[in-house]
Parts: sequence; C-alpha cells; structure tokens
Amino acid sequence: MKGQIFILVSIMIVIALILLRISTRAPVEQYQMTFPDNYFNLQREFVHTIDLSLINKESALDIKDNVEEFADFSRRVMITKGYTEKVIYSFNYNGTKVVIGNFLGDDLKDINITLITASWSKSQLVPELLDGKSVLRTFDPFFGWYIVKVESNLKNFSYAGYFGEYETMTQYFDINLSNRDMMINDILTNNKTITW
Amino acid sequence: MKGFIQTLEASIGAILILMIVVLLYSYQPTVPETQLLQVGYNCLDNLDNVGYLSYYALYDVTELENKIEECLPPITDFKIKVCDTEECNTTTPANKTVVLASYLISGYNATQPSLINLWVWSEI
Repeated sequence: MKGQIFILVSIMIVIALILLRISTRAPVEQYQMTFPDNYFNLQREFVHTIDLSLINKESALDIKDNVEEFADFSRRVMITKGYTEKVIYSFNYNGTKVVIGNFLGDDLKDINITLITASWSKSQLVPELLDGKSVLRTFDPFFGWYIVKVESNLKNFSYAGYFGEYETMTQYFDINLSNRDMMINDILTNNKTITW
Repeated sequence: MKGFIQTLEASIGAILILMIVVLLYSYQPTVPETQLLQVGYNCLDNLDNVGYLSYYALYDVTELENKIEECLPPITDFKIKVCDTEECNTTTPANKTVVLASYLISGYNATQPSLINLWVWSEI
C-alpha cells in the first residue's frame, strides 16, 4: 500500500514538473535586423530604383517619381522598425551622373547619419574611373556593369560581407568629416533639382 | 516479500520521476537567435545578389520559398510573405523564439516597392 501511494505521489510530481516546464518556456521574441543590414538594403534598392529607370529609358521626371515612390514606401517601412529615414537627392552633371543621398537615422541613438552617393555611367558597359579610383560592380548579370561609389561615415561595421569582392571599396570608407559635409552641402544645394 | 514489493514500487516511482526530469530538462542545442537572423538575412541577400530575389518575390513566391528552404539549415522552419504595404504580419509558433529578417525590394522590370518578411525559428 505504501508503495502504491509512492507511485501516486510520483505521478503527481511528474505532472507538476511538466506544468512547471511549460510555464517556464522562454517568451516568444522577435529579433530584428541590425542597423547596417537595414541601411545597406535600403541604399542598394535606391540604386536599383534608378537602375530600373535608366534601363527602361525613362525621363528624368519619371526617375524622380520612381525615387519618390520608393522613398515613400521605404520611409513607412523604416518607421515600423524604429528608424527615421530622410532622402534627399539631385540629378545633375547633364545626364552623365545621378547622385543620390539618403540618411537613415536611428531614433534610439540619434547619431547615425550616413551619406551614400552612387554614380551611374552613361555608357553602362564600360568601367570608368571615379575621382581617379576605379570601382566596378555588377548589379545584375543581365544588365551589365555600372560604376558605383559608396561613401559612408558609419564606423565599426563590417563591409566585407557586402562588398568583399571589391577590395578597392575600402579606400572610400575613410571619409573625413569635411568631405562628408561638403558632399551633404552639395546635395542640399541641388536638392531635388534636375538638370538633364 | 511484502517489503520487497514496496521497495519495487518505490523504485518504479523514483525511476519515473528521474526519466521525466531527464526528458524535460535535458540540454537541447539551439541556434543562437542572432545567428539565425543573420542566416535568414543572408539567404535573402544572396538571392538578391544573383538577381533572383525581386523576380521570385513578385512573380513566383513558391519558388522563393523553395530557394529559402534550400538555403536555411534543416533544423529551422520559416514563413515568408511579400507585401506592398508596411503592414506585413503572419502567425508564428507561440512557443518558439522567432527572428524576423525583412528585405526591401524596389521592383523587377519596373518600380514596384515591396517588403519581404522572413520569419525563422529553430525546430529543436
């Protein structure tokens, strides 16, 4: 009889253990992407937006509309992730280059300001020099080559995963403050103006 | 004889408890969440690098799911959704730690901004 009581108690303890295990399960959490992941995704798609427009031989006004359409969508997406996004851009150099700058700020830290400039060559199949430095990148195997120059004041981020195959890219990452300010001023001056 | 049976019953009870404790609290290796997130993001990023992500996302989501399944480790499960608004949610397992890798695309043949959300969790 004593043994049966022991088994009964054992079963109750087992049930208690199972209930305890269920109640102590880790709460469901959703881990979000990091700032650099979001940022590089964003800047690449801005580049892609203009790429598509150029490939489709759209007018400057249509390019502007496309950029604004993507900017509006990405801004709303970034807000849901806790980021503020500001996009300013200019089309200039008589159609030989398109310059776009976008800023993605982190509300929580309020220090991450980044400037990206991307330049498209008119003849997209020929590698060219930019400021004496050649940076070549394939965007799409079907569309050929274009030149993209990326500059950033972000620190402590690993670029290797994104641009590892373009070693010359690294020389652009040591941008100093005066250069950055100069570029920001340039874009602000030409904000949303089109010379085509 | 009676004492022997009582000892046997007590032993059965003790073994039962021991087995359950081992079963419930044994070490289960899991994939760290940050690593899982990076794997999920890399899968999307790699597809984008080879030029397929936008096409699959906009025209062939089933193939996109197949590619993601091939890319993710076999111990993981996932859900993927392509949305044209910032509201892009789905239901995920209540008792799992879920990571969310999201990816913006601008379009394939023309500008068509979309958001790809990939939820990944470990099955063990």
